[in-house]
This record gives sequence, structure tokens and C-alpha cells, in this order.
Amino acid sequence: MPVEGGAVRNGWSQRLCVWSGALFALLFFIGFGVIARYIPPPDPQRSAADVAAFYRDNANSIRTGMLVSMYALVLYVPFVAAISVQLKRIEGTHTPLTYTQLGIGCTLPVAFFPPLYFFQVAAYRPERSDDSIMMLNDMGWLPFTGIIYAIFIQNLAIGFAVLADRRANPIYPRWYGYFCFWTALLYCPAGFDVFVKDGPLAWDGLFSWWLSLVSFFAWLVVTIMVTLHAIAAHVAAPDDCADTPVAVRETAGLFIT
Amino acid sequence: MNRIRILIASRPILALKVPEVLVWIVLVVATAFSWLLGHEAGREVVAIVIMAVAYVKVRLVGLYFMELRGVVGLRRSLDAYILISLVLIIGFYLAA
Amino acid sequence: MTSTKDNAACGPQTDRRERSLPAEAGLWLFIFGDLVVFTLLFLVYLAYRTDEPELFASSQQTLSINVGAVNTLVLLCSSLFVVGAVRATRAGNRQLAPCLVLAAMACGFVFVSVKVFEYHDKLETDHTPASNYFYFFYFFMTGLHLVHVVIGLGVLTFLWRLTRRADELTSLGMSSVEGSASFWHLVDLLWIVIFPLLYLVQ
Repeated sequence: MPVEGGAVRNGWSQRLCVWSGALFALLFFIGFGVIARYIPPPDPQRSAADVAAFYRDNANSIRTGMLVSMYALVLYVPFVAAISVQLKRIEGTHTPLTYTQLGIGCTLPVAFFPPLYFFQVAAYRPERSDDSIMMLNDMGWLPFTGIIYAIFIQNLAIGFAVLADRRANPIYPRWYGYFCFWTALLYCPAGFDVFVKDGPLAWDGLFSWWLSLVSFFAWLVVTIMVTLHAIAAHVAAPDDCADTPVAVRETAGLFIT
Repeated sequence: MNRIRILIASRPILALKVPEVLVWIVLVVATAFSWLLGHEAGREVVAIVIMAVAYVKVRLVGLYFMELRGVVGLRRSLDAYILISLVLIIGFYLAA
Repeated sequence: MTSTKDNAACGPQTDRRERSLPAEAGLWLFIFGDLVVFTLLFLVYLAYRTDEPELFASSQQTLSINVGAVNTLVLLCSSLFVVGAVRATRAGNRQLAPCLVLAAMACGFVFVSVKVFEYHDKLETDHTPASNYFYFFYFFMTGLHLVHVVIGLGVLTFLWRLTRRADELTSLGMSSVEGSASFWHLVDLLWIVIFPLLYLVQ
């Protein structure tokens, strides 16, 4: 990190980490959607025989697809790190929201490995009984759609940090803070997929799967854009007083900036 | 501004001169109207009127309470949102 | 964006009061985004209704129109209090404004209490989200709205803190006041549509 008046020498590595987020999305889509053909998700109400047949017929493409997807997941971590660098610029010396974002962001691969491994296990011995395969399939899909808890707080943490930015030219545009709040809210319904087997909240439903997927993708694209922008601004004007929070705290409160 | 403060604080009756208060009375009357209509079971016209009244209320809240009256862009967005939502909702309702 | 030209402006915040927009542009992104998602939810509800209109109509009969109407009035009152609070804040009245916000919060708590009793009543009589699609949407829609009410109560707490210093707020503080108020109006506005759609339209 540049201290006083230092130039930003690692602009390239910061950008690399941001693009890692795009690579994550692309590779994951190839592995999970194209190779394993898990997008759109299968109907939760399929019979055990149908589920088992799917694993028996596609064992190798599922194995390969999950493998690619897991490589993709890890690439999310550098992306999270790149966001944290910008949040740290906002927060200054004491950076609770930066650490929150970094810590929670790193749990994403950890959270998604088990579901993907359950799919792997199902495809590993497809000669297993239909019921066992169906159970592994459920063990994969329920958390896969339902795990939004960490990313929910991650988006809130970024949102709060962005709105707490006190400089005249904020590092992230303020609308991005509200955008993070909005996407955070959109993830919420997905957690209810454990209650239903069909309808809009099922693991393949409109309000659980599709809304979360679309908002996560939108959030990813927007975050890549605004973060690249923030890095470019930082590189162009390293002496910017931006790195030392300027404005006087005018009133108490989070959103007064 | 000071005058409004005095109006609201010391002489509640005169608060009626504040447009938001009049709008609020209209909203309450509209709620009562919908509530009465709601007891009329199973008529399509009734349902359409009820939803139209609801979106008129939405518009009033948007324009007067959220203060979008003076902001052209947001006012148009609100009108577009209301129009599209109402048309879609009535369309989906009649499709039953 | 940060060019050398902008560096000169790196002092204290520039005054953003000039624009006519209440609150911040970003907040309107959030509000309109939320409105669109709710409209989507309303349409999905109506689409499921076309499959079993009789079931939806008979399930709807078990809801109390009066309770829903009372809650509508409660939220309308709270909105009026918030309007008054914003006006009082603009007038710099640090006595009246926080009182009005507290009145609005009281209305919010009444709404939540009524909702909790309503849920309890439904669950007592074995109407759960799993009963049928009408009840599923009833709990989903009102639940999502209730989340907004609870967040809104947090926002009103924040607004209350701001209004206590009504006479010394900066333009940006005022913008936060307007933003918080607008979020609470959003809560009211959503219920204005949810109530007729779930309780009245047959």
C-alpha cells in the first residue's frame, strides 16, 4: 500500500485479482452449466429412478464439470481481496468492514465445495441404489441454492463501507452501496428452499434460484466495473488526498457522509 | 418553513392546509372504499376497481409523501412503473 | 474519474443540496428495484391463482379483511407522522421532529404486533405455508413485507437520531433524513398493494 504520496505500483496485480472474479464466473458456468448441465437445476420432484438415471448416464461429464467448477470457486478469493483493498482505502487504519468482507468472501468456496463433492460422490459410484443417489443429489442441491447467508452479509458489509465513505470523490460511487443492499435483499428468499419441493421457492424456483443467480451475476459484473474504475482512479492520482479521509464528520450516523 | 412549524405544532386544525394532510385523508377514504368493495365477493369489475384504487394510492404516496412531484425523471419512472404494473396485474387477473 | 482537476476539490464535501432530488440517487435505485421485484411476486401469485381459482378464493375467505384494513390505516398514519417529521426537521424543530418519528415507530410496532397475532391465528387453525399455494404466497408476500417493516424500524431509529439534531443538520444530513423517510414510505406503499391483492381481490 502506498503510504504518503507513494505511487500505486501494483495496479496490475490488483486488476488481475479483479479479473479473477470474471474468470470465476466464466469457468464456473462452463463447468457447472455447460459440462455438467446443471443449469437450469433439475426438478426437486423427480423420482429417485430419474435422478439415478441422470447420474448413470452422465457420470463423466458430472465429474469433469464439478472439477472445473471447484477450480473456478477458488478464483473468487482474489476477487474478494481486490474489493478489500478498496474498502481498506475507505476505512483507513481501523478496518472492521474490510476484514468482514474478506473473511466472509473467502467462505464462498468453502461453502460450495461440499455440495459439489456430494454430486461427485453420486457420480463416483452410479451403481448405488436409486435412493442413495437421490439423497446425495438433495444434499447437493439444497445447500447449493440455499447457501446465501454469507454472501448476504458480505454485500451488506460492502454496502455499509461504501456509504460510509467520507471523501468528496468517493472510492466507490454511492449508488453502488445501495445496489449492494438491494442484491443482499434479493438473496434472502433462497434460504427457504428447504421447506418446499415445487413452486417459486423450490431449489429451481423463480425466487430462490433465478433471482439469486441473476442478482449475483449482476452484482459481480457491477462490482468488477466499479472496482476497476476505483483502481484506475487510484493509479492515475496516487497523491490524491483520497487515502486520508478528509471530510469533517458533520453529523453522527452511518449514512451522513 | 417557520409558519409550517407553527401550524403543525401549535394549531393542529390548520394542518389541513398542508397538502400532505389532505392527501392522507384521501388515502384513508380510498382505503375505506376498497374495504367496503372487498365485501362484494367474486366480481371482476370490483377487483379491477380495487387494484386501480390501490395504484392511485401508490401514486399519491409517491408524489406527495416521497416528494417525487417536482422531480421529472423519477415522477415519470413512477408513472411508468404504476401503469405497467397495473396493466400486467389486471391482465394476469383476467387470465384466470 | 479522479483527474488532476478533481484533486483540487479534495477538501470537505461539496454541497449537494442544489439538486431537486429528495434523498440520494442511489436510494431510488434500491426503491425502484424493490418495487419491480414485488411486482414480479404479485404476477407470480396471480399466475399460480389461475390454476386453482376456487381454492384461492376459499382460502382467502379465512383472512380477516378488517385486520388487513386496520394495518393499512396504521401504516398510513405512520407515513403521515414521517411526513410531519421531515417538515419539522426542515424547520429545525428538534423537539417536535423526534416525537413524530417515535409516533411513526409506535405505528410500526402496532403493525408488527397485529401481523404476529394474525400469523399465530393462521398457524393455530393449521393454515401453514405448506397448506396450499394461496397460503404459501400469503406467508411469503407478507413475510417479505414484514422484513421490510423490521428494517424500516431500524431506519426510523436512525432517523430519530438525526431529527434530534434537526437544527444543526447539514445538507447531507437532510438528504439522509429524506432517504430514511422515503424508505418508510416504501414500506407503506408496498402494503397498499399487498392488502387489496391478498385480502380483497377475488
